[in-house]
Amino acid sequence: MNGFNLISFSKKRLRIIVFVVLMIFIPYLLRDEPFYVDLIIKICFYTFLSTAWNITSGYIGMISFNHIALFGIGAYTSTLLQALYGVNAWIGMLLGALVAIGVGVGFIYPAVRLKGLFLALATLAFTAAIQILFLNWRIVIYEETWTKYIGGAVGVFVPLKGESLLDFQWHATKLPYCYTMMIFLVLQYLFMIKFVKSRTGKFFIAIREDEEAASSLGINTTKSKLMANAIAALFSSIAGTFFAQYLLFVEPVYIFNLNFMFEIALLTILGGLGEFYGPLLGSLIYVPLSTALRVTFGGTTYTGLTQIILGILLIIIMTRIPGGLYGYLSKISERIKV
Amino acid sequence: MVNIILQVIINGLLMGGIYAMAAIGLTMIWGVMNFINFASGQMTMFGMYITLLLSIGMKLDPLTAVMITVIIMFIMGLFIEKIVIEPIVLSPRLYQVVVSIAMGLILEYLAFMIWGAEIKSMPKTLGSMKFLSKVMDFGLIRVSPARFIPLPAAIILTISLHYFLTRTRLGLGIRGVAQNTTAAYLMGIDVRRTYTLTWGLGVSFMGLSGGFLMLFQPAYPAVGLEFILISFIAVTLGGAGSYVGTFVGAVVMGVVEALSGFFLFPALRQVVYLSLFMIMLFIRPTGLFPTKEAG
Repeated sequence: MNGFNLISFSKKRLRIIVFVVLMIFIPYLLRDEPFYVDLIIKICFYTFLSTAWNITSGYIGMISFNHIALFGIGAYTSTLLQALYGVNAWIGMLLGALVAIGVGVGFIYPAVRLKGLFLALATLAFTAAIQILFLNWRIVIYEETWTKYIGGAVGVFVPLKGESLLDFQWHATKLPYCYTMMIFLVLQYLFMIKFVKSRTGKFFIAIREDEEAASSLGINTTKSKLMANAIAALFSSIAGTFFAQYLLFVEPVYIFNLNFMFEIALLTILGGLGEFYGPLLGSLIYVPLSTALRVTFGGTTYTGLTQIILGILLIIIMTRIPGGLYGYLSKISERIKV
Repeated sequence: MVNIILQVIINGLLMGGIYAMAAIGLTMIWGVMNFINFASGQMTMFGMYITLLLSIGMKLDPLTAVMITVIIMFIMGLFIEKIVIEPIVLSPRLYQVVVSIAMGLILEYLAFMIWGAEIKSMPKTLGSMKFLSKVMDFGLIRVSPARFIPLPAAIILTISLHYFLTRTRLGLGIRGVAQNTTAAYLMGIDVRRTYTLTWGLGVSFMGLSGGFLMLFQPAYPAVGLEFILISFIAVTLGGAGSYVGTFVGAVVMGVVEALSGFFLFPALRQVVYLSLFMIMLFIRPTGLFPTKEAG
């Protein structure tokens, strides 16, 4: 028994070491190819954000589309604080997370008792309303001789500072962004491993499976739902600040993009909804595929073909493999083992 | 001032007719199959483009083109149900949402590929458009026939739909399936055929609203997104599955939109109705005319 534990432990440790080495070396080897570094960043970024979506829609079963609004609030809070008051980006990220949690939970609190798709509709309306508000909200800065507008449809630039981790911006290379995003993702997944096994994580799944039964067993469903939304808001706003720092520019149409929200939902379901590895699997397949299609068809007369192919692919998968790819793969691996 | 406000209200009411047709298409599928079609706005947009194509490409009279659009959209609805919807009827609700979102994306980019991203409008000299786009002066208000037609058409359609659903065998079958699918199946109603028919009817209503809208507003591929939200709000205001309720909700939406666009900053009019929608959902999610447990 003891020996078995030792072997499995060392095997696990070996696997982790190989994983970490790969994570460090693959971007480093590709450092002269910004396209591929960007692709890795995108994969990590999409995984990060879809895990946030997976917590509310997959684990606790609240189908909601407000994550992109919270993502945008995170991006805007840190950027505006930097542009107007010169606050450090990392502090901006923390404050943005607090604002996003406040807004997210404050909105979800009255909506908690909405059933099924009514919640999806309410969150959709919330996201659209936030986008329009940011599109029309202009901030006036009084400089010495003239009045200057920022915000609104014009967007806000992140003020350029030197390249450093402290200011969270690099200009010459994308490599530091890649490692930062990877560290975020690893931290998120470590949290998720602990969380799924924890008491609260089990509560979430119980609520998803049968809310009435869960509440009759003494689980405070309202509290759990608010907590799920707070965690999702935290992750979404962190992703938002990262995105703002990566592009060094925020603009309402691009940040509060409903199609982006749908992409997140689609790839999570593609990978496996409510599955631990679902978002990772989904983005590993979806992001390279959509990038490749965009590179092939972008700029030609068939620009729209990217979305059409992806949509058709998704419909085929949804109608033929309803459990998502993770469920399908685990079924196949079971069959091989037997 | 009074006649301006009156004009704004009338414009809102008339726009409400267009919204009503799109929303009835949505509420029908929602009520019968408990399926929320997130692609409904894009289907309206497709209706607009098909009307435009028929009247410019095939040299048809715009009003005839609208009628033919309805038939084309009906067939399109049947095909969509058979190919896409049938395999996922029993799947979880979220899968249905995602499939309809994907369908909307496909339709939007298909329109983008076929017709391009630029704004296209109906030529004012084409057949009956000469009469339809002429502005008529009624003293206090001014209305063009193209704007006026949709509201009476929507009223007539709502009434005839009501008669179809309460008097004919086919309509009673649809209502039976909406109320209790299993019982309807046991009574010998062909549930599969009813679903297909419902989709055909629903999509043709969405196409009709697009066709009428094309007579006085330009088309562009992204026009669908605004329509989705407005139809959702109209349906939730009225109550999913209630046709009269949806009609009332859509007309209310048209007036609210027009008034808030007039009294407030025009760009913020969407915020007004979206907030109204959220408050409505929080207070009374079953709508003003609830038909059954929906959601």
